[in-house]
Amino acid sequence: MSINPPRYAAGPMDSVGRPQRALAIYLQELRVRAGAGTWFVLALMFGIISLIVVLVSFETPPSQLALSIYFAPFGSPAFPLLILIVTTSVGSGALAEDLGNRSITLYLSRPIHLSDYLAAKGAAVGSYVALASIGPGVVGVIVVAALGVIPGGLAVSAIGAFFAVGFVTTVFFTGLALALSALTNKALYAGVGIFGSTLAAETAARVIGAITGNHDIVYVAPFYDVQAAASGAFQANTNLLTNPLGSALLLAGAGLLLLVVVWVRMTRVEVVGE
Amino acid sequence: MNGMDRVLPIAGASVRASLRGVRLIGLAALGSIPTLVVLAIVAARSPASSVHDAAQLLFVSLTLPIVMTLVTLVLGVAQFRGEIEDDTLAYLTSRSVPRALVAVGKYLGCVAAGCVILLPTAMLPLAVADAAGAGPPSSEATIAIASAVVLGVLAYSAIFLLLGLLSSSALILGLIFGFLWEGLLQLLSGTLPRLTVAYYLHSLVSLETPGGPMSGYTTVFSSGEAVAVLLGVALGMLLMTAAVFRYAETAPHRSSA
Amino acid sequence: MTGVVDAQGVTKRYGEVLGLNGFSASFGAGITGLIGPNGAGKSTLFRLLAGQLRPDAGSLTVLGEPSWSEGTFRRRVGYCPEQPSMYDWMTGEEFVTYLLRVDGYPKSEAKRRAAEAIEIVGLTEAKARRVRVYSKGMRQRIKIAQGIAHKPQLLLLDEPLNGVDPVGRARLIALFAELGSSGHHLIVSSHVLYEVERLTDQIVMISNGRALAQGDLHRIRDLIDARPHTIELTTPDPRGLAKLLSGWEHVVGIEFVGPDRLTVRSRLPDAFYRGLPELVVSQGAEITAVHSSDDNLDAVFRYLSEGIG
Repeated sequence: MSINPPRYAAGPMDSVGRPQRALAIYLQELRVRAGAGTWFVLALMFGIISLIVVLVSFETPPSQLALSIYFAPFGSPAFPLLILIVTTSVGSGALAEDLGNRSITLYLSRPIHLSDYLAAKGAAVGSYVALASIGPGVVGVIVVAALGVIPGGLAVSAIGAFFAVGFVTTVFFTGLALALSALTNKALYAGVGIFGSTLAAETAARVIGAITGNHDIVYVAPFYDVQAAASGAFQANTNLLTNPLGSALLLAGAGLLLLVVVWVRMTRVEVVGE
Repeated sequence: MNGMDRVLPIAGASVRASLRGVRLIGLAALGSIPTLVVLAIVAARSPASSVHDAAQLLFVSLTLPIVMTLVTLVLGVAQFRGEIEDDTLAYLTSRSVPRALVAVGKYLGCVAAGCVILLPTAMLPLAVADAAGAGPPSSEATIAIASAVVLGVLAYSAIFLLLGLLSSSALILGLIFGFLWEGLLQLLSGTLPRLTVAYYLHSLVSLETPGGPMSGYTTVFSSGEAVAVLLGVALGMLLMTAAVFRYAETAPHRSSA
Repeated sequence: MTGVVDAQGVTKRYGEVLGLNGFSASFGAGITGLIGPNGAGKSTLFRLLAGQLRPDAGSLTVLGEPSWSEGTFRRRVGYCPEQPSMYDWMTGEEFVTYLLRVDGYPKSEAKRRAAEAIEIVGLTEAKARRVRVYSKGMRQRIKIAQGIAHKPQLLLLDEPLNGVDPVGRARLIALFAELGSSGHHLIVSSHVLYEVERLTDQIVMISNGRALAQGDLHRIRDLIDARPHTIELTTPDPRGLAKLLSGWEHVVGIEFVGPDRLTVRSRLPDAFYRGLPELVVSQGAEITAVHSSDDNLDAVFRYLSEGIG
């Protein structure tokens, strides 16, 4: 029981800058997404893709060692599926969960900008997608270079190519994950959307392309574009029908466009509680 | 009062819960993709025979491995996991209904909802091809496709129902099962592909439509054996789900105490 | 023990966290209040009683049946959970009817009973609306409707008054009292003592997963009153005030806790509060603030915990 009125003191508030506030969200999101499932798929990805890189390095005669041999992981059917699972694991709930449990209102009631919040979320999802799309190839190359199986110059080129292809892959899949995550408040739906939209576009474009003979349609297939971009980066001779640079630009452009869609969607979102 | 009197309301509620709002729109959009692809091929003025082939090719390359997996994953996982996370399962577990009947009711609802989405997904492309002048599919092909859809829904729904009950990471585990396990094992030689549901679905479709674009799948089983295996998987998983649910705690996470 | 609900050494762990820690209590006939602060283990106990969780140790029986079992005895139990979630896409009527049908009632009978239960909780006008659009109070009431629709012998109500407006509260309390007097057994949890006080004298107090006290509320109050209450006073002259208070027989301790504050321990808080204005008026004592840290449920639980420990 208290019969004296409460007294409030309004003192100066020390506030860190926007980058630090966004960093706090970024680090929190990294922690939240670092579940057992994510690490399992990442470990699987590192295991399979790094092994492919190591194996092709050992199996290729030294005289035939070239940048093109490292295109091999992108030709593996495991690569697209693993990238999709990592993207789904880390990206499907990034915004959907905040919308579902209404914690977005807690975030946005703080002195932060929506752009800071989205940048932090995107950076966290992108970090994991980048780890999955760049990391295993780079680790494999470093291992074989350290063992003296390939010359240093080739290793540097291969690492650069993995970074280049991984970058456009990361931009596209981060944009896709955030866009679908922003459209629903259930991570399950967003996850299925990521898988469904990518694989349906992939299969549909390839079937339409094959039946109609219109090869431009395969630009719509995301992993076909990743393969094409990789064939350009690794200077591999393939029968792919799209222009490597065109595919890379399309992936990056589509990813950025999806991020704009996320921004527009999130500026219009209303969270209604009970 | 028999068990079905209790199972049917649960199944009915499960169908209604599965096919509403955003989920229905999303599943319908996913299911419409094969039809849209066939329409695109028709619009490109492709020959009628190509449209016919495309419709059947899409069934084995898009509907069975992708659309069916995703639709049954959403429906199957949501039955238990959705209710555990929303904390609504207590309304059922605190009633006098045996838990096994709850599992059966949810499974039947899931299968019914899956068929509502996936039978049109499989059949509409064929109807579009027919309307475009490719002619109706043979009765064997129609029966094979419908059987594969129903059997696939029965088997995958049971698997995903169990996953949803067992794990809070059911989505990721379901994707790993549906695409890595089912997809990659099929690419391997030897007996490993037989460990996938897709193997038996492809066997059934291939065996029942000889000579068409859906044939040519290498299998050592007869149609009857494939059907038996698929029904066995469905029944086995359902029994396991009922047994697990009988002893499962169904609070969402640490209670607020 | 032969209560409606008997708990003997019930323990429930969530990983390393103890939800219930050797909880032992017997809930008798009529209405029993389960009182405890947030996080005490009330909802864990209800989830165990509802068969949602399995006890890790100890025995817990509901109407003579083990709580972790299924069977027809659950028809004699109604459960109104604390969480607000429901099948939001159903109407209120569909929600109650659905659960009755799951319980095995034929469709027409289920509809009839649902309408009756909805009428009792005063939601008839809103029964055709989807639960999604219900207010918090309406959600509580429809939850109670599904809990009473099958006329259970035992009704478990987990924080049923949470979020209900004052008029709704009065109505629900009257409803619970009516159910209690018509032969139903009710276990009603709350973290607000006075709410339960209006319903029943029989209470079980729970804190940190253990039953601290059980029985008649007035006896427990006496038990609490047997221990000195601590009251903090703010005054510009603590020593002068202490001198005046030291003459009071029920004041058993005075401590100076700051330049303008002192704490007083009194065995009779009612007498202390009655005497305080008199002290200000007739003796000219200057008191700027009075604060009793004991005047809340936490302090009551602390007393009882210390007493037990």
